[in-house]
Amino acid sequence: MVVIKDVEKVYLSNSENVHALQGVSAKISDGEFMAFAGPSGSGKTTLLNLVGCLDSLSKGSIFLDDEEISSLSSPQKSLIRQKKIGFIFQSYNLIPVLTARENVELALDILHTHTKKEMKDISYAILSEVGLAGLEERKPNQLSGGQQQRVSIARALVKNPSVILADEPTANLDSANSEMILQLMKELNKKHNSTFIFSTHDQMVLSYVDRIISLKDGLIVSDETKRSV
Amino acid sequence: MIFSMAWKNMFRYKRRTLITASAIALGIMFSIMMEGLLFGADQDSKRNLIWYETSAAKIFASSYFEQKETFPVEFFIDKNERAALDAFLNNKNIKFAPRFQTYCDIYFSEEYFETAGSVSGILSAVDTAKDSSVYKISDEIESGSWLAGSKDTSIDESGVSTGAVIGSWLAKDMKAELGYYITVQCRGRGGFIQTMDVPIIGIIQSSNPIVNAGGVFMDLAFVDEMLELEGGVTEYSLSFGDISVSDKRYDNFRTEFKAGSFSSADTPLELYSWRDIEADFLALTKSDSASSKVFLLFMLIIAAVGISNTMLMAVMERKSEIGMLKTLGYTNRFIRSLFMLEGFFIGILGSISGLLLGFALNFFMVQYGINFGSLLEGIDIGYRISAVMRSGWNIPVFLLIAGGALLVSALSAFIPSGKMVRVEIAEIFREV
Repeated sequence: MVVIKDVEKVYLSNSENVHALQGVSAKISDGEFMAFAGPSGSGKTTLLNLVGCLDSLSKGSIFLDDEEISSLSSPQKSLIRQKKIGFIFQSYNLIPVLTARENVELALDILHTHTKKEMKDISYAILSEVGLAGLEERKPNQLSGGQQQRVSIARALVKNPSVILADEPTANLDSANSEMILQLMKELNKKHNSTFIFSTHDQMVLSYVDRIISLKDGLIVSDETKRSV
Repeated sequence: MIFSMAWKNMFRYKRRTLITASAIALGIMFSIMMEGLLFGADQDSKRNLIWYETSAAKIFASSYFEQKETFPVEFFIDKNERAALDAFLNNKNIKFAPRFQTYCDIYFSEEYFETAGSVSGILSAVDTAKDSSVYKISDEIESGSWLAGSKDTSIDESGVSTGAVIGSWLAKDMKAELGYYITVQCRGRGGFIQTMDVPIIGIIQSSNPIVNAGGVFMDLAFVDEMLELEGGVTEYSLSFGDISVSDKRYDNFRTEFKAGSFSSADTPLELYSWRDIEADFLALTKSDSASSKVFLLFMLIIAAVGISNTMLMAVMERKSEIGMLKTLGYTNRFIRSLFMLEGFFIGILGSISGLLLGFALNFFMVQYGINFGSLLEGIDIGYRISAVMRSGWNIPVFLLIAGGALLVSALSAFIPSGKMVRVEIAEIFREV
């Protein structure tokens, strides 16, 4: 479960303080498939980054599975990201010199909990689950955009994180691929009961999620459930 | 995983990696060549000093050493001291050669030569029976004969050679030929000026430029009579056998010599190693060695700049990957190590190539060297090398050069990667 309490984020841009978030509060339950939505500059990506321990907040607090993560030190945040958070990026961010399997193993290797063989088996299984069976030893440049995003999803899922954060995951995909990816994530959400939080303004993504928290100028303007937007 | 990633990243931009590794390789190759040449020149010079000029050690009369540069004729090892010294050295089984040395002027007239004139030289009056047991000069006769040799036409009825053997460059300067008479003028014992008309019976072409340029060798027995030396000599040259063990044997002998009666006499005899005698030469080689270190430093700086630039570009291009690794929970230390390892691998590629190229070039330089020929006749470079400058195999230094380049390669990635890993992840993604 993710609990966001009165979160404020101020950062300096061109010598001016920008209030990216101005007292945002929300509660996201386990297994939710939801999105932070809003136009550019609304604060949705900033909020996603704060939940993902990628940035430091200015005020307020964030809890992940009852642990306050907003006040942790940088190494402690690294540990949280290692074990509890999976990320899916707009531009996939795969390591081009590694194969699909090795990219997935990257998320496991840092945990130091599996042998090489175990990592290989787990990676093969998860890649098969995202529809990439037979393509495990291909490098990113030998895969299509949709396939690369599937590798990225497999990498996020492989360590069974509490929450998966996806920042505009379909922005670089055509509509057919976007649909397939969203369908896949929805299935995985149901199968693994993983919490998916999107940051997006893509209508297709918003049509798939069960809950939308809309932001504008750093404030929550609506919090709606079950495609009621 | 980190090794595998760093290794694969190295081949990501093959051309860039190749250029950087090549720069390192060339730097190492030239450093090896330079170090090899200096080492070779150093080794050859030491050998040529000992074989032709200083011997392994010398014994002088008291006070001679301080004025040795002027070849004084005031401080002698006298006849009675010589007898005791001969017995002592024979007893210790040390090979020795008594000599009288002084500066001289050599006059040559139109009677024999194309033009009359004079040149300066160093007269060495040698014991023809003993000198070749210490020095190798008698083996280097280019034409004619060594003193009292089988072809020496100047031997008088008492078996004394009355001719002179001169250095090849000196002979070339004078346009001298065998049989030509020269007048050797120098100071005798007590300071009087003496002139000696002697035929040239031999010309030496040695590996030592000092001998070639100014060496005049005559029979000690003849010179003793002409310069009224009264059986005295200015020095005893000593040999301790093979050069590789010479220094150690000298140390042992010095202890014995100091314990002997020669050191405690009223006018004690003094023992000096070739290192004491040629302290200036050793200082020169040290300063050359320092210069080569500066060259090496430049090479390392070039390697550092090259690698640093390569790694900076790599870091800038892989911002999003750095961000992604951080989101996966990889520490700054891991990411920095990844880049440093990549730099290290490029360093290995450059170092191995540089070592191979350097060894190949050095092999050629050891086998064939560079023939400076007539260039060295006109200038004194300090080193005792007369024509061909050859390299040597200074393996520990060669490996040190490669090791240094390797270390610098790894460290050069430290700053560019360090800068990036300190940036907040969100900031990295904002910039991408």
